[in-house]
Amino acid sequence: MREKDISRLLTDEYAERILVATQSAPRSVQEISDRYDIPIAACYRKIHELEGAGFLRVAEIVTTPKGKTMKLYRSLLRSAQLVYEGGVFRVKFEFDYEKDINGKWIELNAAIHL
Amino acid sequence: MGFESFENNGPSQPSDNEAEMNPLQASQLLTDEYSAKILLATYKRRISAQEISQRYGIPIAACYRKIRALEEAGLILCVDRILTQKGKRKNLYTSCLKNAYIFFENGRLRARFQLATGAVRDFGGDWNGLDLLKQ
Repeated sequence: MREKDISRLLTDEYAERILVATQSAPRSVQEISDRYDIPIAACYRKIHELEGAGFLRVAEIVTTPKGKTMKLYRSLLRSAQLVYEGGVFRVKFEFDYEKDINGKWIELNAAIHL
Repeated sequence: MGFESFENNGPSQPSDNEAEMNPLQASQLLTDEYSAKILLATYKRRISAQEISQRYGIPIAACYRKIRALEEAGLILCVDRILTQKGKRKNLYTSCLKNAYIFFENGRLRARFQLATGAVRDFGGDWNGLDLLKQ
């Protein structure tokens, strides 16, 4: 995963809300959209992007009373730290699984400039 | 305001009163793409909204809006009003954010801003974030 992608995910208005929303329990896209005031299409798009980047996974697939199946997503992010010091943005992630960027400080300034 | 109460109430509208910001709102002052660019653009520099807009590719209306939000939160300051060659007034802004820390763990989001004045503002309850940094 490149800095540009990380920066783009992190500086997205919705990604942060989605990660907060799915931290404590698996949630459906509809639930996240309703509770966190995210337009449904944007919510689907961003969730797929976060899933692709390894920040989210499908934790459960449930059947609704109407017989539709619904995916529940859960965050795979254990912790994240964003630090701004001396005009430099850095970020560090810890995931629930082995990931190349686990525990590494990543500088974001160059990516933010783009 | 803690994360739990935030989750129950859903996101509230940004407030004029900086003390009422919840940790997610505080955090998004930094993680918003345009806000992050404006903070970099105004770091140790005096710069106008037009210049920021051109250099960082931020649409001018959005640039003004984000500048206002950052100004209200006390993260940037209008330090001068100069007269352009065309006789228009132009505000120059500079960042007054020294350090910022945003921590997300155990489902809780916390933010700490240290301003150039030495003032420290915490969002998301009591915490000693600097201890975490040293780990």
